[in-house]
Amino acid sequence: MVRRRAGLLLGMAVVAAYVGLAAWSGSISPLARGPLLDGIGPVQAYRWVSPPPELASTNVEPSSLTKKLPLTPNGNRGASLVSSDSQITVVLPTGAIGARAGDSAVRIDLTPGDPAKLAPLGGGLDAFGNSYRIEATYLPSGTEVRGLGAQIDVILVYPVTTTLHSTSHELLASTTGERWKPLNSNDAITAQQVEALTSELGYVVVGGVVSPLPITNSPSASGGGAGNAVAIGLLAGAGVCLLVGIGLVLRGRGR
Amino acid sequence: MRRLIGLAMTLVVVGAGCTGARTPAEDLVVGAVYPLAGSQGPGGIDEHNGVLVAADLANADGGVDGRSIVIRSVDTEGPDAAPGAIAALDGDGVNLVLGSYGSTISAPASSAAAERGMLFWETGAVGMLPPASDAGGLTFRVPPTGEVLGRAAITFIAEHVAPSLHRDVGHLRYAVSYVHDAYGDSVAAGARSELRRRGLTDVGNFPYDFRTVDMASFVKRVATARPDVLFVSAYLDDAIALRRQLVAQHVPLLANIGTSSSYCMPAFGATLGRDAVGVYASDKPSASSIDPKGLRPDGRALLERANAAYRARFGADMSPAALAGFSGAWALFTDVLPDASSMAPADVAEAARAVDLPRGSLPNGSGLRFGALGTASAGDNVAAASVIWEWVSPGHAAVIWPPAFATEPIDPSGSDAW
Repeated sequence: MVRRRAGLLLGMAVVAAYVGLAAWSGSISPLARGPLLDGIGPVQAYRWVSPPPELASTNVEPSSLTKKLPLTPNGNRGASLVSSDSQITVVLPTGAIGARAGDSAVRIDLTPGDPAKLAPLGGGLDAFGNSYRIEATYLPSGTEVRGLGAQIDVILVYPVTTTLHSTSHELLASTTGERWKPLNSNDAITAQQVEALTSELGYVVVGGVVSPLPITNSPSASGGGAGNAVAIGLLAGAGVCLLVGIGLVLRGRGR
Repeated sequence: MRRLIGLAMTLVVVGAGCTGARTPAEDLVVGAVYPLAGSQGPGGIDEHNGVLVAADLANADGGVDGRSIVIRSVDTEGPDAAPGAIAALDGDGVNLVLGSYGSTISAPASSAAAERGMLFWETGAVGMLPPASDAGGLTFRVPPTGEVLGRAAITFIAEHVAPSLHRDVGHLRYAVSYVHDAYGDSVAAGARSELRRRGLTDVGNFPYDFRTVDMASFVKRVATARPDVLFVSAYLDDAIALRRQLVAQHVPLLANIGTSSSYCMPAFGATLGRDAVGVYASDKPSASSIDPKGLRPDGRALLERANAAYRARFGADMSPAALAGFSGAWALFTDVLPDASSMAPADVAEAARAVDLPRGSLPNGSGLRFGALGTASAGDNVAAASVIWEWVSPGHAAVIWPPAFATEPIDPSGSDAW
């Protein structure tokens, strides 16, 4: 009992130190960037279940993940599951999947899908990238896990294209894919990933209000340039000529 | 007399009318695809700013045959956005495109441009280009390639660091660690090919995925190969993590040399402080780091003018990325386009293949001469200059090689010796 309490205190101290150091590192970063889940490395090409036409020729199929976790009397041990293409990460705290009599393990399946085959997100939101289905099955019984003992953390990477771009993104969840519920999300826009806690298994997807990337001209077509000085001179000359011409015509008529 | 006056007035009015009919279509619109946000935004913005200043100065000098250059910019944050950005420019009738800072953007952007018959002019990315980019046909790259940077790193260690430490270069053990993507693969390939060419001892290649690497374990694995020299091509965060682990695990290195995208970045030195001192980087120069005496007179004057214009517009000296953007765009605007028989991509490409500027002509120390079609260097600037930096004190890096551009001497005593 004493050992468990010491372990708990140590764990809490480690978490507190981590959060403190993370906040500190963020504040001293020369790039003034977020301290976690961030990086200066490039975003890799997104892997689509159903790619937009301009990316179809180079698209690579996204990864699925199946992982078997042993069960203890307290349920699963803490685990972090990352697909090989890093597009989905699921963090299960200890006991998220409860113990079940007769079963010794749980199988977690993370499967990418086409969000167009599920219900619309609603709220003016478009889906950014694939939907993912998170399923859990007790082994050896094969019984579907229906409820969670603790919230799980889901992180999804999302794509950015010239037509699929938004200033903010959120994670939405749906048990059956028929109705979506927005989750309280953290959008790491630099890393193109969004994170949220969910208390349900089922489908998750990134949603956002699409705002196409602006195309800008610089410098403006009217500013500077070699031809402009000539143009201004000629226009001024034309104005003077016009006035002189009118004067000459009027004078000629007057004779 | 009155008829003469009337005729003169008519000519002036007609001339003015013609000028008044001038529309933005008469400007020379050049596309620009750079990451202006996202993980590569900081460097992409700098490089794009360099392009804007090049257009400013070229326009101040009369533009291209009197046509003002207008930069049409599409924020291209990553590889997924590249084909759409090129398509948007194509739809607007733009067929000359500058880009792209990042190798992972350069590859799909240049391929998409070539597929549409557009000319792609790379100002910063050093990574491998796919065959679909039609390098030398419609795609041209002004900066040194990743392979050149990798070879330069090994050459520098073998010819300068090892001898000055009185070490037999033939007895040193070299390892190559690299982020496994278009950028890292390209630079590492250059380092390995130089090791092979020199008959040096390659004790291991260590690729990794920067998104998932466990750097403590990775460095342990590298250490088991017992390298004397560790070559690194990495991005900033993984480079810092790698360096920290080298220090923490006391990996006994004679020299640690990296490349662009990390080891030469101010944030690398600022974050690591003393732990970066003695580390080398093979990369492009910045405006404030290069010794202008190594430039030709025209390049020197242009560097001064460009840096002043950049400071006036953006409030800072040109970083390596900004200088690369400026130099690349300036070369296109003033050394290629005026000699092209038309602004059609094929004619501009022909003019590009004919240019021959000696090293030191551009403000980043480079010249401009593209490898011939049908050769391995087709479309690559074989007169591109690269330099070696050293972190000579905490937070301060200086160019130390080649001598023409060096501002401080090589100090091998600062090499890894814990």
